[in-house]
Amino acid sequence: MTLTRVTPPDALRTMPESASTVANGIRAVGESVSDSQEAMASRGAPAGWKGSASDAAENQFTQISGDLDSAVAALGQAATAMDAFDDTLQKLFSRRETLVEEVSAFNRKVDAYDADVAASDQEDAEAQEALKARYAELESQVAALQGRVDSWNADQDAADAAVIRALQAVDTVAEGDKAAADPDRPDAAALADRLQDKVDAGDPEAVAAWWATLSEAQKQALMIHSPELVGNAGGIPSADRDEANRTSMLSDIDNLTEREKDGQLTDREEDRLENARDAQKTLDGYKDRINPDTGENDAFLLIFRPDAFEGDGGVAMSLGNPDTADDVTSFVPGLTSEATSLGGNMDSMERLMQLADEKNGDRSVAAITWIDYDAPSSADGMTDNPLDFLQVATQDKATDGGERFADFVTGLRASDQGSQAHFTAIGHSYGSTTVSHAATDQVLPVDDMVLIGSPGTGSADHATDLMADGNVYVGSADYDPVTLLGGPGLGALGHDPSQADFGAHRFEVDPGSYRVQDLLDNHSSYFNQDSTSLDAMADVVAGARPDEVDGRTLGSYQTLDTLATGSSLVSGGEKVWEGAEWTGDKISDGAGWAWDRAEDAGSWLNPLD
Amino acid sequence: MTGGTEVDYTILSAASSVWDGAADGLDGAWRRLHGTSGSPMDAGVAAAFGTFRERWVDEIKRIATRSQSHADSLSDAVTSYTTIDDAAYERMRALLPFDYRDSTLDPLGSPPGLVPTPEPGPPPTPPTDSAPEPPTPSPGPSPTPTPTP
Repeated sequence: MTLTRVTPPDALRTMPESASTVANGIRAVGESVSDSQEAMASRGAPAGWKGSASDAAENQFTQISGDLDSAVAALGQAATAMDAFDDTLQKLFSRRETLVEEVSAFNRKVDAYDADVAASDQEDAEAQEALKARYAELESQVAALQGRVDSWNADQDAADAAVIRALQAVDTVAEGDKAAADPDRPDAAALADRLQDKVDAGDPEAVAAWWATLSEAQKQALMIHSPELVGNAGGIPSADRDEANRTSMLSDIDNLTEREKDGQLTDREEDRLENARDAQKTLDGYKDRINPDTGENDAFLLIFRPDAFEGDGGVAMSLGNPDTADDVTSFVPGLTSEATSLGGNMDSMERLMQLADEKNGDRSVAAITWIDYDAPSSADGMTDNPLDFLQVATQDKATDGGERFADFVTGLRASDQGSQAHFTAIGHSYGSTTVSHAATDQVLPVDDMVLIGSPGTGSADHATDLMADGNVYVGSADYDPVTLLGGPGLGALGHDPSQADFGAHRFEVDPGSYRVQDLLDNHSSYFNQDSTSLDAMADVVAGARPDEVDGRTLGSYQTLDTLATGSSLVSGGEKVWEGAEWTGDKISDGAGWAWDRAEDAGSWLNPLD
Repeated sequence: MTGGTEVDYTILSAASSVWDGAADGLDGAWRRLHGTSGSPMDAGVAAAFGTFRERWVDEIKRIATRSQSHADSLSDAVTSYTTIDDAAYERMRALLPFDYRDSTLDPLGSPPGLVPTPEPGPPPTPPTDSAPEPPTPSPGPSPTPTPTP
């Protein structure tokens, strides 16, 4: 008797990422058209203009505004259809992966059965009976499995047919007019007002609950009307925030590129365009990073505020979906970080994520770079001089940034799906001061905290001031001068968390080079490939404890003045620090030491860029 | 200004900017839509999206073109009105006394200010708390010369 093999499912004809790309494009077009339509509706016919020409202009405004509204309605329906298609494709993708494995395993069993039949002794009644039993068992499975494959094929056909119908329903101007006049059309402006109220109330749980009540058409209409509001609202699912922020980003690029061609860009618009282009470049760098479970792109733009902080911009991006990941980490970089610093920091996060992924078994990981605070920059007087850490970088911006960071994490907690993820906050350099302020001044709902290259912990005197259960992990390279600014004693930005009496868990970090010319690199070495610090941070992210080393005690390490003098001497003596004075909370302006001549000033200020 | 238009230049310029901004946004939009595609994609879905895309590219492009045309018309009108008014102003200025030729037009539409401002005349009523000057006696009629005998 011959057994039938199960035919594998058809190929997935449209990849989820393809549908997602098209949906993002449609939404961006919708936002640009919607913005133009609103501009005409609100400012098109200026007050104070009277007469026949004004009447003619008013008529034109009304006519064109109506035409644009029809376009917005059609684009909204198309975006909704394509987004639904994308969701269906993700499910089909996942089901197909499972089916292909099952079919393959089943057909291997059939192959083995056939081989055994061919090799069997026809006279051996017992063996023949056993083969009959195997046949019956396999035959009972084949129909069910083939049925599931056929069902999958039919579902794919149905998904294609549904999106085709939806697109064909709005592929003429007349159909756009009809869509615009549909009484069931979502009122995007009213929805935006309601969302704004909920965001202003500062309750991301309420935002998440309200968002879940919206229809897909309402969500898409809102994303087209107010993508910046949706994209930056804590509590909204990360996948939706990503869609909204990509919508903003693409629309900004489209609109501002046209103004750039006309030579009309203002300084602020130039910043905005630069930030948008940089975000897109970073996302493009991860476009081939596809989630094997969903077929979706695995990079999520969680914050996009290209106008923030007087043009420096605010941005946050995740590798992996933080709503579904088991282990999530969010990294806050330090001085001079701005929106265009995203790419270099994401490289660091990718290294950390890969290592953590290797350590945590079947658990999934998401790694976020968060740069949505006004890190001290050149506009504040930051130069390539490390003394600026003390003289320019006060705690004000860490305080403000800490509040924003706490809000961000709280928002992510509200959109988390399934069991609550294990969350690790990481701060580097001035970012560690910012994370510290988030913990001491706000409610920062994280499980673990990592502070690396820290110049100080703000107002925290002890690890338990940051995390009640003391889960604070510290990485301080012995020859990273920035880590020596906070102790012994109290530095301008707070305590050195690697001091033993601070009570944190200090992990091993390569001490770094002792040459004065290399001290800057030591501060930027924590995420280096194969470094002990990267390994230790991956442990924390994965929910494990890294190996600990002793905290600093007086006499067990070189203080700042000793390091500066000693490293200058071993570097040939030509860069001897000339009389720097440690005054307890600042170094005198007259230090005039070798760092002023550091060749890699940019690396100092933004070492991960 | 004449011909049925009553508007300040700045208002016309603002209207031109609105149209121009809308045209920029729409130009960016149709270009984005024109370049939007997904691959791989089912042939039927791709065809349906292609039809949708090109139909709305055409429509948005049409509106963008019209918006830009209106922006340009308004901008041209501002230029024309400015030129006309400049000429009229020059003619008016030529009629003014020399001392008033530096007068400027008030953009809010009030009458032209006169520069320099003429000095005010003497107050019509003398201050009440000042004593009147004593009258100067009339010199009286000149004596008639007596004829010499």
